[in-house]
Amino acid sequence: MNPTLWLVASSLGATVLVVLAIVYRRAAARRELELAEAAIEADYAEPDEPKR
Amino acid sequence: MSACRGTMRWNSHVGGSTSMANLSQLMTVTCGGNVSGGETSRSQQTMLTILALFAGLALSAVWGLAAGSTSATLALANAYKVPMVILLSALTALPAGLVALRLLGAPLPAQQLVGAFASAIFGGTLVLATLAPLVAIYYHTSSKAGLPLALGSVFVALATASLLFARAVVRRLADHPRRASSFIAVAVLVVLFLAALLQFVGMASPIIDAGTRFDGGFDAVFSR
Repeated sequence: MNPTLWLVASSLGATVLVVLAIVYRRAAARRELELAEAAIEADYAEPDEPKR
Repeated sequence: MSACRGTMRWNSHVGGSTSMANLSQLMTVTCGGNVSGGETSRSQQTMLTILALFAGLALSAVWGLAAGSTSATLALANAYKVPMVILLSALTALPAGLVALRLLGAPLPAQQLVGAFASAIFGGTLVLATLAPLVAIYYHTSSKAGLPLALGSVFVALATASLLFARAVVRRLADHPRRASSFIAVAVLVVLFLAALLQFVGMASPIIDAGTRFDGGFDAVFSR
């Protein structure tokens, strides 16, 4: 079959992979922020341990 | 004290979201379970979807190496070609599936359809990678069973992926009254994926050294 078409298609696929890697990194960063916020919120919700 | 405890908890949360933990969650989702921690956020769903796709492509490269193991050049070429064929077929089919989902007014959110599709690809390629050693052994030692086993492993993987896709959508729409429209979108996606796969396999041929009817794409498969 047409090798040029395969070359174009596979370079498009490689570009999509790069874009997906960037999206993954951004989602991971956002997830870390969410977890940090959740941890802080949970911490504020709990009262401190009583001092002896 | 409070800030310290907060930092420790944050660290443990972040430590838990490593790649291994994500892979573990991906396996749980693929096997029909729920992600730990209850409701998944949008970012977590995006991460799992992309991770499923990347892991699936890596697993399909293992099968590519096994199927092309008759020569080092073909094996190395397959490690790139097989994942690319799967990725391009998925990219070709996905827009049609999403359009069908919207036109039918299906209750399934687009992101969940994409997530289920990616986890199905992961499940299918997991089957491919599991069968890869057997394919390699038979391909080198049996002239009768080598080729049928290589092709058979692909069909088993496709059937597994389709079943996993359907199951994932059923789970997401449990007891929803209008879920039939979502299944039409799933069917559209699966059919178009197979149609695109057939042509991309033809374009990337040879993947198996012996040559098959699939090397010629649709015309060769459906010629009399």
